[in-house]
Amino acid sequence: MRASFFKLLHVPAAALLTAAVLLAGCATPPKDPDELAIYKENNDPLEPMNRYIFEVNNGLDELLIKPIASWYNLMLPDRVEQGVHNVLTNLNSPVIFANDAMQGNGPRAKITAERFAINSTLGVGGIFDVAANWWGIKHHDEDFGQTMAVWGVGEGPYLVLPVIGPSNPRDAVGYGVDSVMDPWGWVLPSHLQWINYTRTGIQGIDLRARNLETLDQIKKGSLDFYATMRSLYRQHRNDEIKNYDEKSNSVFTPSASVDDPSAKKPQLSQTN
Amino acid sequence: MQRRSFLAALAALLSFPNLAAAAPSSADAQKFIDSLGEAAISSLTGADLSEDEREKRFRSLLESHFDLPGISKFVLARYWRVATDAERADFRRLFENLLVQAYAKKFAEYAGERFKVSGALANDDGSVTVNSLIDRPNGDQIRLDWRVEDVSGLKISDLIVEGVSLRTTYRSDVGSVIQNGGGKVASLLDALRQKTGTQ
Repeated sequence: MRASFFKLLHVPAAALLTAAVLLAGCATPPKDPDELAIYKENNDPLEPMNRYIFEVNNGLDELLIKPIASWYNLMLPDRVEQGVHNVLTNLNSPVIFANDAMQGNGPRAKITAERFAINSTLGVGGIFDVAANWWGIKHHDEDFGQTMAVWGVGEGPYLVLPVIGPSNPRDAVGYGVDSVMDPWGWVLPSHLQWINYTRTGIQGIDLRARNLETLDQIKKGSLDFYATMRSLYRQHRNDEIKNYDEKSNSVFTPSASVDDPSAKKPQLSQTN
Repeated sequence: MQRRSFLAALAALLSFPNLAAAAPSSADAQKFIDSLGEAAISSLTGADLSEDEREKRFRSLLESHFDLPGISKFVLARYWRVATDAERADFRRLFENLLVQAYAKKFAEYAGERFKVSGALANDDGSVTVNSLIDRPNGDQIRLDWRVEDVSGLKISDLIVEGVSLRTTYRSDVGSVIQNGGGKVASLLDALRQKTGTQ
């Protein structure tokens, strides 16, 4: 009885706390019309809070994640790393397939299903990307954030999430939905859930290890790393949503417009 | 030959609203990017090049093939208007220094990646987007698009890596620095001087 009462209390308390953090983290819109135009273009009303979390994430990265990823890169032969990456990618197939399907993209859903069938068997549990190497059936990524974008959901203001990093409300919700949708979490009994957590951890290390040079390069070339990452994240997500198909040099989805006005034109560089 | 004239006709057709402006043909733009790729690989990737020499060669390719004045104007965006002539000139010089310092070294790590031009598309505004693909040793393929314009000769006005535009990203970066510097272009120039260690 008492426990449930506290549980009930938790919800409004959490909501209040969130509201307080949001208010404290809010930037005041500038009055100058030029400054206001930038403020709107950045679409980052929580910038002070976001910058704070960004700094904390960077600190965590320098102290822990980057060293682990560098060590991982150094210790393991490239072929082993590639195998680990392939296994992780293969395990992600059900979620990608579900999102392909929810976007109404039959051809891409078929590709994902074929890849999963081929690589899980001939590719020895996904270690080898036989589908791409032998048949040229290449991997593509998809997630629920992109699915919602295809459905017409806007990205909302920029958001930096603890540990996870650059995001927005749409993609943050998408991330949660993808985790729930992932069938490996249901298949494993509760005492074996650690396997799934380990997988998430390795996924993070794999992602970081594959981007060691890229992130260093971005840091080296930018003046305001935060603003650069914000712009990169948005542009990259808009690009992912468009499902560029390299074979035909064309945009693959039926609804390419989404919330990116530049998607209608061949120019790729109009939005922030 | 036939294919080339077809592409040229297509480019002319697609850029119809800008027919009066000198729009580059898609075929010419593709050839331009092809030749730049060859030039970059042959002159910048040598393992025995000194760092200074590599930067010097990179700078000269940058100046000959990129529309640096246009890119600078795009990057400064609304601050271009308020910047004085001296500030504009300072920005162009310091921005070029930043690009040289940040990207010339990349070519030292060159590991035999091949880049192939895969197509071109004429844009509404008279520019041409040339598509290319780079094969990484680990099997990944990177999409690299080049925006080519005719500014008294063919020049590159933007690089788009996997949908991420270089000049758009720098516009956000630079805009944020100026904004945090109280809207003063001088604050950006200070940040650039500090970052590049040049004057």
